[in-house]
Amino acid sequence: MAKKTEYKVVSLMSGGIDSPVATALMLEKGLEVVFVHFDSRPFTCTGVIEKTRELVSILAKRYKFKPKFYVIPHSKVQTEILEKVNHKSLCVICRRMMYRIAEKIAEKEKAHALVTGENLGQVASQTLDNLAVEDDVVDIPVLRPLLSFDKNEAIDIAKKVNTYWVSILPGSCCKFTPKFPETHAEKKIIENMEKSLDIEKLVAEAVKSAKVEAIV
Amino acid sequence: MKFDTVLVRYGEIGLKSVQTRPIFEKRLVSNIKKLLNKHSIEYKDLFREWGRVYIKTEDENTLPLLKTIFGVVSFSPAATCKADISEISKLSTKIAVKKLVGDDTFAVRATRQGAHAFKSKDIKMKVGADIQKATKAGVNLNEPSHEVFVEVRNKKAYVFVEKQAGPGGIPQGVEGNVLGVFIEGEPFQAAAVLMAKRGCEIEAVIEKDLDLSKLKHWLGDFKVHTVDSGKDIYKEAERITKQRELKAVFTADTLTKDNLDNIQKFKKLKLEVPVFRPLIGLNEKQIKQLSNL
Repeated sequence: MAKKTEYKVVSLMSGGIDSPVATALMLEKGLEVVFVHFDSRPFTCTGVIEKTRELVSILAKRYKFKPKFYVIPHSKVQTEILEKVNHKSLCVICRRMMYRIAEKIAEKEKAHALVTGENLGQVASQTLDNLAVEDDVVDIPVLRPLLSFDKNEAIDIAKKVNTYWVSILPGSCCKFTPKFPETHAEKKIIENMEKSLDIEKLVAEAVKSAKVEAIV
Repeated sequence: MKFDTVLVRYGEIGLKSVQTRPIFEKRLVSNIKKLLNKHSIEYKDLFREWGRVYIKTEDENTLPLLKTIFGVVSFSPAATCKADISEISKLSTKIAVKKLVGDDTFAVRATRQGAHAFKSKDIKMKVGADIQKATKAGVNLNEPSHEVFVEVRNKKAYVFVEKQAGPGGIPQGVEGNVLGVFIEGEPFQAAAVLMAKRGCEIEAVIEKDLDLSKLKHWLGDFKVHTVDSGKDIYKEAERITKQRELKAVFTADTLTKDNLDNIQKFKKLKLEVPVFRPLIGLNEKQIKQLSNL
């Protein structure tokens, strides 16, 4: 590992293939990483958070550091979104909420950027339009190390850093994912939908309910 | 090998959902047509079927061009014949004789779609035996030095012996148009190639004349905006992006062990349009490779 630096980033970890790879690439460069996981139970199975813990632990061992792991209960935010917005736009709004909450954690941690495993165009929800609309809600830079990677490139790195075998274990889907999610989100329309949500309150509650977990 | 068809494979599009897949496929076909036409390459037909694109052409110059079309995972020049097992074997043997010598080993890989009086296994056995007789090469199914591929599709059979790699990625144009900030000394070529590879059409903003010929070989011609001297290139990029209704700005910013301070610069840059940084996940070696394409 490179020498420890003063630069810290907050990584949004999901339990899938991409976020651990994105994080590994940032650790490789010598950035300090704090982990954030949005816990969607009971809307996802318990496997998801267990996988994420395991992934954090693998990265911590590989890059030799003591990890700080925030778990943020997310089901309340999801329920609100589910009740109040157009089904098609769930994912975009859910991600905007995660960005906002992660930015608050980053402020608390004095971190310089967020890191996500997002990629351009690999899945329906990660289009140029959608990523742009997500970015819009935060001032902090969002680093997407895998932005331009093909899926097989991310998989190759996942195997190299040993996270692949945990990432592919069952348990990754959010059960609300619409069959045809929004692929070309428009800022004005999304902002309008969000008017029915008390964003500030939801964000504040989420930050307050965040727990730092010990990872062995 | 003399060929009459080029089979084009486009793996990643296969991952796409039902709603977006046709858009991607159509775009890939139109991008291929556009480039072939630009280079005056003659083809009798170009169509999409069974998750492949088929180009009916005998022009060798098609092959290097396919290496520059994003979305193409691999391609094979193939010879065709009727879906008849003895014709298939004759054609395969003719091709194999030119390719194989005594010490070589080979395997026949066959797939079949449609209604036929024979199975894939029958093709493998018949073609394998005939090639062995004609070349004296040995069969090795696990680690052959050469592979002979037979793909039977309804009334036609395609035979080929090589797979060349394409650049992968997504067909250019499906994600929309973005504006690159090209600053002299920065690896803007690498950044632009990657954005294009993920489906973007590119425009560029520059401060002074830059040599973009290599990049244009890859991306085709693109619009270049020159900033008036004294103006901030990022602010200009923001203005042009809004004015031309482009979807985002991208930069050639990097993040390596030696320049982690750049992260401060990212924070300071506040534009009212999204900013993407396609190079930050790469290491110096990868960036260099892309810069030297």
